[in-house]
Amino acid sequence: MKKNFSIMFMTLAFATTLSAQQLERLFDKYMEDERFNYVYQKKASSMDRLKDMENFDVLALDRSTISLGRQMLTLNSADKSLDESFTREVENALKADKYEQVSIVRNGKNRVETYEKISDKAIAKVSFIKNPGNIMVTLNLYAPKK
Amino acid sequence: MNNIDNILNNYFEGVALPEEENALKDYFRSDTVLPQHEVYKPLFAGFDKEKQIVAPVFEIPVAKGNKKPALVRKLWITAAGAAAVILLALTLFPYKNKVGTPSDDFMVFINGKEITNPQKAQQYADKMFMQANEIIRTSYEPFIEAKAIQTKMDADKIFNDLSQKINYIESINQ
Repeated sequence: MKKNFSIMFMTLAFATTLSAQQLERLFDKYMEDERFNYVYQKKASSMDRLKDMENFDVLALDRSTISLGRQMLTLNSADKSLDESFTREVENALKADKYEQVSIVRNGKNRVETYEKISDKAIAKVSFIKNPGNIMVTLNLYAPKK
Repeated sequence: MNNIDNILNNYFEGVALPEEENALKDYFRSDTVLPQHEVYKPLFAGFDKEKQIVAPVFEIPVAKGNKKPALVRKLWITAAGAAAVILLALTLFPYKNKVGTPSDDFMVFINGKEITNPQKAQQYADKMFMQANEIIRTSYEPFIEAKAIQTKMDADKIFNDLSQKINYIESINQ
C-alpha cells in the first residue's frame, strides 16, 4: 500500500513537472520489471549537477544547478532481442518527446548518446548508454534559470 | 635442641626449607615443647588454624522486593521516559532515517524488488549514478582531448599568435 502510494506520488510529481512524457512512461513501465534496475532520486545535489556538467556540458555553465530529480533505468540482459526492443522503445520515446540530440560518443564497445530538451518548466537531459548486455538511460531534470 | 633453635633462626630469617617448617610444626604440636620455646607456641598454633580456613563462598545478592534506592529509581524513570519519547518520535516520523533523509528522496528497484531501507536505497542510487557518470566521463575523454588539440591547432589562433610576435619584434627593431 505504502509502496503503491509512493509510486503514485512520484509519478504524479514527475508528471506534473514534465507533463507525462513518453520517456516517463517508459520508466514507469519498467521500474518494477525484474529484468531492470530502477533508481530515482528526488533531488540531486549541486555537486551531482557539477559532475554531470563536467562530462559533456562544459559550455552550459550559465544553466541552473537546481535539480528537479533524476532517474535511471538499467537493463542487464544477455537477451539481444530484448536489448534491441528496449533500445528502440527509448529512441521512439525520445523522438516522440522531441528531445534534441546533443552528442554521440563511441568508445570501444560502449556508446553514449546525450539528449536535451529545454522548456519553460524544466531542462531535461538524457544520457543513453549502450554497452553489450547493458543499457542505461538516465533522465536529469533541472529548473530553468530565471 | 640446637637443631630447633637453628631451624627457628632460619624460619625467622625466611630461609627455612619446607621440611624444616614441617619439623617446627610437629614440634610445636607436640607436648615436648621446651619452656624457652613456649613463647613461639601461639604463633605456630596458627598453622593448624590456617588449614581450617576456607575461602568464603561468594554469593550474588538476590534482589529482594521492589524497593530500590531513590537515585536508581529516578534514573530508571528518566531512562524509561527517554525511551518512550524516542519510541513516540519513531512512531510519528517513521519516514526519517538517522541522517534525516526522507525515505521518498530515493526509490530503488533491483530486479523488480524495491529496496525499502532508505540508507541502502541511497547508497545504491549514489553508486548507480556514479557508475553512469564514470561511463560517460571515460567515453567523453577522447572527445575532450580532441577538442583541446583542435583548439591548439586552430589556424586563426596560430596566425594571430604569429602576427603578434612579428609585430612585437618589429616594434623592438624600430
